[in-house]
Order: sequence, then structure tokens, then C-alpha cells
Amino acid sequence: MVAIIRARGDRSIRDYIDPERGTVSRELYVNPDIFEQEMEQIFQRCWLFLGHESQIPNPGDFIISRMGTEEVIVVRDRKDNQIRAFLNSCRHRGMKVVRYDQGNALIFTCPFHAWTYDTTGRLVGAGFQHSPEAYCGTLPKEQWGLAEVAQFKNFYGSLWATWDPKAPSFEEYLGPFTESLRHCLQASDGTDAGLDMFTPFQRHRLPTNWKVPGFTSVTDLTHTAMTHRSAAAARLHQDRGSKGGRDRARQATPFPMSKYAIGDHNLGHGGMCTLYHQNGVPEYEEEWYEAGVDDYFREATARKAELLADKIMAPHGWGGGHFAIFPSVMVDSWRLRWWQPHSVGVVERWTLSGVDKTAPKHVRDAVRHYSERFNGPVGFFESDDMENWNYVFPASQGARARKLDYYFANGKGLGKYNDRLPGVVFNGSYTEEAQRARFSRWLAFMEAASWDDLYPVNKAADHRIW
Amino acid sequence: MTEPKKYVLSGPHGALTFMSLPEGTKITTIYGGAGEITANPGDGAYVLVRFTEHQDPAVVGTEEFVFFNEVREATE
Amino acid sequence: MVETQNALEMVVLRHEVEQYLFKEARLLDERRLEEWLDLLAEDLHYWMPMRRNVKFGDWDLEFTSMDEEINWFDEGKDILAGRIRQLNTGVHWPEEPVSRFEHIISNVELVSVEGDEIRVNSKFFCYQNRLQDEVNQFVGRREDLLRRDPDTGFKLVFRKLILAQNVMLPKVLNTFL
Repeated sequence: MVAIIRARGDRSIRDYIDPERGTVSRELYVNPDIFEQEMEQIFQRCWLFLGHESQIPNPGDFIISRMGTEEVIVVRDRKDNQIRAFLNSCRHRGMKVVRYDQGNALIFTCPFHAWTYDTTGRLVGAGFQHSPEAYCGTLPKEQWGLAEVAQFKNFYGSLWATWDPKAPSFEEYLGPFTESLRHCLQASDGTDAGLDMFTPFQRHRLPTNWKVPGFTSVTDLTHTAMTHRSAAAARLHQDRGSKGGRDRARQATPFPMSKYAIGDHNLGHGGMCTLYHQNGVPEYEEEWYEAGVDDYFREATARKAELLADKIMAPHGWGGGHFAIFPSVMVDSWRLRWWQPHSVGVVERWTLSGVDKTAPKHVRDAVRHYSERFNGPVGFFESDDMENWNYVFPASQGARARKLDYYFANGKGLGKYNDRLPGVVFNGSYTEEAQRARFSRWLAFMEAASWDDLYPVNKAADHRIW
Repeated sequence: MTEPKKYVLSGPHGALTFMSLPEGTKITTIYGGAGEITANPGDGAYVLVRFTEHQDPAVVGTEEFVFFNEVREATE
Repeated sequence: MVETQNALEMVVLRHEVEQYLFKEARLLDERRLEEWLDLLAEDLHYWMPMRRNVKFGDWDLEFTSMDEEINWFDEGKDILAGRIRQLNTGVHWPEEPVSRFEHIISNVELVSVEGDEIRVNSKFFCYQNRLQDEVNQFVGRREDLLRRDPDTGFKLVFRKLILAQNVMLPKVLNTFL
């Protein structure tokens, strides 16, 4: 079923993507009405990343995170130790209840009329609730708790939620990427849920549409040589450290593997993918400048090799590469980076980097410092990305420019399915397969009346458009 | 015998004093309730009180968050 | 008389320190980045913590920890040198074409003098103007440790940068503060 969604004039939203030519209209990136529809059709339905359990280890600990354009309170309950997430908006007049970035709370008290909520979201008080001149004790507190997410998942320490009660389970939503995400959340010795994330979230603003980085950077190997030419030329890679000490592109001795750009057009996930053809893990190659760091990772890798001696490692992004979970989370073996839309032309970038829980101080410091100088607005690498992602928007927004299309046909039609990840299209590592998969899924969400129209709730649905 | 210390909950330091009232502080309310602080969330708005007297007899023996504006007196 | 002597020495020292800080700012604005690098000690620690929104009184939680958490900058001279190599490649896109930076340094305050080492606080206002209309402002204060140096007058040994931002609002921070 196709909902009638009009973007501009009387064209339907489907008309803005041309699967034959392999193009996407710029209109989809610059039109504020499209943005509003995305917030409803996509961000109200999808599983979204909130943070990591290591950020809130103690009862009553909370952080503020975001789902789409809205803030949520993510809190570990004081009694049952469960983590829950609530919209950060008072049920009385909609005031932002919590204005701190993080903390430890017994209750969350709104500064407007003092409605107050416990760590399960229940309304437990209001100013003058007993006053004979006010509520006279008639406030039905049980009906006015904070709005809680419809479904919540702690997946090996990573925290996810959706507002849609009809959304499939998180594992169904991930589909063939379930083991890949699990792999990324393991310590370097292969221990499940093995990461501690460095606090706090690294957050900064970028004036562009969320899909520019959110969809383009899913796999975009053709940008690297040009965009990051300065980082390569300044020999920053060789300076110190590397890509987190795990799952590197290089190995000391050859290990049979293949590299692809992959995309699941039904689920929208995809990215850079290493497919291993042999049991075990590649031999560790030294790469850290800081003393003793290689020793730690070499030993951890040896333990992991024992663990996986008779198993093939789950496919995942290689080196600093990544795969991406729809709509806007990039995952690799030591960090999650994701995009929080603010408006059609403003997005906020969040990063959370981690290290093995059991890593000694010198290893923690090395990985943390690498993260600080790699990521975000002061990052050697990402500062280059920001410039390009930024100026795409004003240069695409004008009355003339928005009538043009973006080229998304790199490698179109050359991909093949592969039994190792059923349903996933494998293509050349420099192709835009993952970006096309994003748009197949994007269109499905924009047209769907509900999850009943969407894979995998509708098992028969085929969202692939190209 | 010395008088128990009465906390000053008005004036410029009132909110900060209220935020740091320790557990065990005796509370009376403007509705005639009485009890003892069992937890202080530190938000300046509420203290959690276990009531020994309350206008609603069902609340006696249970805990309820009490709004600062409804506290008559807080004593050590 | 001794006190007058000390007071005069302090005025002179303050003047020398100010001249050092002003020169630093001018070298950055004139894109003489390698000369700026020469003003830094080999063992420099350059630190800009992130700042959280915290509850009144929880001030120890406001700044991210240098030891355990993610900071905007927490690095030494070698990494700063790498940043300058990158800025000087001519293909570092957020600085190509280059920005018009103006660093304004004020509120210079001598905190302590111990032998060769001087603790000094100051404030910065850094205005960035780029392309036609891209404007960013970085405002904050610094807590510096300077060491006397026979060649350059002083060398910067430690700098804590206290930037008045929570979420970093500019897309890139590509100068030194």
C-alpha cells in the first residue's frame, strides 16, 4: 500500500528517486516538509541508538539522549536496576524536565509546576497536590507518568529503543547484522558485552541535512583519497596509534578474507564488510606508538583466536571502516557514531568510543587519545568530512540546484547475493551499494502506513528498488 | 535540655538548606501531617517523608514526597 | 623599598607575559603556525575538557576528566605539530580557503611565580570569518603554566582551555586557542 505523500507540486515521493538512472532528487534533502515526514515515518518507527549501559552503572544514574529531534531520559531504576527511557517532556505543560546532561536521581522534578517523576517514570508528586485550593488530592497520578518508549533493548550493553509498539524485535530489525553488531560490542579477546564507553557523548553541530552524512558515509570509499588527502599527506596515521587495536585491515601474515560494500535493501543496513574465509582470527600486527599497547592487544587477540579456533568470525567492517544500522548509526569495532537530526538543515553528530572493560590504564589512555584526535570537530580525519558534508546543503538548496539529481549509480546492478549474509547484496568495496540500500528502505518507510507494510513484520515485502 | 535545631527554610539559603536536609529530619506539614525524612532527592522541591500522622490515615506508615511549600517545620 | 621593588618586578613580569601571549595570538592570526609551535615547550600538555550541564553545586562534574573521559583536546606538542602539518598541506578542506581568525587575549592575571615557572590566567575571544559568511566565535579562558626560556622569553608548558560551549556549535575547531 502506498500512502499519498506529496513533496513538492503533485509528484509523489517515489518520483524523486529514479532507480533506472540511479539517481535521487536533491529535493529529498532540502525540503522541510520531507524532513517533517521523516521524523514521523522513520524516527517514530525505527529502533534508535540511545547510549551504552556503562554510562549509567549505578541505580538512579541517568543520561540525556535523543530520538530524532526529541530528548529522552535514559535511567537505571533504583529498585529493579532496569534501564528505561522516557521522553524528556513534562506531562503537565511539556517543559523539559531534566536539563542536566547526566547525573544520579531519586526523582525528576519539573521546574515549572513541580510535577515530579520517579526512575520508572511514574508521577509521584505535584506542587499543591493536597491543597484544598488546588488539586484537592484528585490528580490521577497513575495516568500521568512520563511517556515511555514502546520497546527497549539492551543489546550486549548497547541501548536501543523505538516509539512504535508494532516494530519487530531488535534482533529481527537487525536481521543478518545481529552477529556483526554483537561482534563490535565484544572486547578484543572476544568477550561479549566487553566494552566500557568513554564518557561523555562527544556532540557537535553541522549545518546540513542528516542524510548527507547519515546515508553517504555508510560506505563511501571513493571520498577517502580526496577528502582526507591532508591527513594522508601529513602522515598523521603513522604518527601514533591506529584504529582501536582490533580487526585491522592489515595482518602480519595473510589471512583469507574478502572486502565488499554491502547493502540490505529490505532492512536498510549495510556498509563496509570483511568476509572471512577461514576459522579463527588474523594474526596481530603491531601498530601502536604508545609503549605496551601492542602487547595488550596481541595477547587479547591470541585469546580470541583460541575462542574462535573452530569458528569463522562474524562479518563486520574492517579497520576503521564500519557498517551502518538504519537510519543513522555507524558501528565499528570500537565506537558508535550517529546523526541526530535537528531540522532540515541542521544535524548533530554524536560519538561514543570504547575500550575493553579489562584494559589497563595505558591501553585505555591510548585508545581514548586516539578517539579524541580522530573524531569530530577537532579530529584529523573528520574535520575534513565536516566541510564537505556542510557545503553540500547550501549548494543543493537553491531553486535551480534542487531540481537536479544526485548520482547514486556507482556499481549499480553489479551486486550479488551471498549465502553468508542472506538477503544482503555484496558489491565492490568502492561502490555505493550500501547507500542505495539506504534509499530502498527509506522509501519503504516513507510510503508505509505502518509496520504491517514493512519487512520483516511483512515477511513478503520486497523493498529493493535498484 | 536544649531545643532541637530548627532549619531555616526561607530566605536566600532556604532552598540550599532544604536540598541538604539529612535523613531523620522531623517534618511537619501545613495540613497537620508529621513524619521523618527517609530520603532527600536534593532537587530543592521535595523530601521523601515517612508519615506518623497524616490528614489521610491511609498514608500513615507510608512514604510520600512532600513539596517544600507544604512543609511547616523541619527540625533535627 | 623591597616591596616597591617587588611590585615593580611584577609589573615588568606581567608586561613580559602579556607580550608573549599577544605574540602567540598574532602568530596564529598571521598563519605563522610553525613559529607559534616554537613558543611551546617540548613537554607541553594542551588540554580542553568538555563542559557538562550539571546541578548547582556539582561543580566537580562540570569538566570532563583528563584521566578518564573524552576531551576536546588532551595532547602534547607532537600532536599539535601534526595538526600544523595538516593545516599546511594546502588540501585541508575546512581551512581551504583559509579562515580569517582574530584572537583577542585579555584579562591577563599573574597567579604565581615559582622560580622559572609562572602561572597566568587569561581570556580569549577568537573570531573566525570564512568564505563569504561563515562565522564562528570561540570564547573562554585559559589557565597557563609558562616557563622562562632564554630564546623565546617563555615557553608554554601547560594550558587548560575553558571553552564556553556544551555541544560544540561550530562544525570544526581548526585553530589553537
